[in-house]
Amino acid sequence: MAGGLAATFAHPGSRGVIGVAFDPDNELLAAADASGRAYLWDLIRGDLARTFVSRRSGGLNGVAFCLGGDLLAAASGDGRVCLWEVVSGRPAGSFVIPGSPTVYAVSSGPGGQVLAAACGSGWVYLWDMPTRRLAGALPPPGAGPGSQGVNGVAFGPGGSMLAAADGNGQVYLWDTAAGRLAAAFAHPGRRGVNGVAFAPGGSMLAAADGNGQVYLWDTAAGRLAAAFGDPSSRGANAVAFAPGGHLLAVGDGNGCTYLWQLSPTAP
Amino acid sequence: MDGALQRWAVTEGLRHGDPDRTGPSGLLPLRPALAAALAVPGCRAVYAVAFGLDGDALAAGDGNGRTYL
Repeated sequence: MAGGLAATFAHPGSRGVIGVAFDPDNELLAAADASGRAYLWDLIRGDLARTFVSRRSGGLNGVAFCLGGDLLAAASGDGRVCLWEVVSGRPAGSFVIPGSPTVYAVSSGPGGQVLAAACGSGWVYLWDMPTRRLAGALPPPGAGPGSQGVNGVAFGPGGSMLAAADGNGQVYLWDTAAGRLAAAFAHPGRRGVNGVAFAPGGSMLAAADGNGQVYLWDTAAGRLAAAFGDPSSRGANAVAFAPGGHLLAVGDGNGCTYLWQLSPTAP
Repeated sequence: MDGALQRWAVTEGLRHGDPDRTGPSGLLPLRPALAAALAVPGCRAVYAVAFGLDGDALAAGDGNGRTYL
């Protein structure tokens, strides 16, 4: 990255941008808004290409492109996943999730063939996107009166792993091929985990914690590789690895986006 | 909801990560270093971040209703 602010996209009337995603061609940027709108920015022309409006009340909490970028999915605060056709701009239906007051995040697997939705009920649901059929339901392992819901989800490379960030301070690692829970990572701070991301290759998993720390887990060894954060943090909300895996971006509640360089410790 | 729904369950083979056990392993330990703190006037809270596919662009969604690239 050369550094520097390249563009600012303003959303009039917005109550906050909660989710962003690039399309697979790297030409469009989707932004999910707390006012219930999703914006599609054309990165080539630098202008707003489309605005999608949720027909019901409820802000949008996250976005993901599906089916090679043909479809945009948005996590809605009214307990649905909203779908729109990217090219035509037409609504493409929605997935209604019974018993969940809100959907906090969505993530698409390789090629956008599978979509995962993180729900306030603590469940994660999976849909097969070509058929639009519900393919799986992952229960909240730590379900109980104190369950806080799932704040974030992310597929690992190849889609064989799925990480779920729990409001109770746990990160759950699901083996999607075997259909079982493979690991549970408890965060030392015990605040809610707001977002997760796999490093390229899947050897590491980053988790953004509400206590302001970022935890890096070694997914193969089940060990904590590193814990770090800025002292002025007001809670880490989101994490994303650069394609090379050497850089980690952290969105913070204090208004900063931190870039952390990841390098092995010298022996 | 569809009849082909697969409900996954927790199995006995669950492995618990232990935050008190740090390194070493094949890729550990790591030493993260803060490379930059990006902020523009008026930023409130950054709720979302995403890198472009080639790593040249980083998008950040802010509580002030703006998306920064």
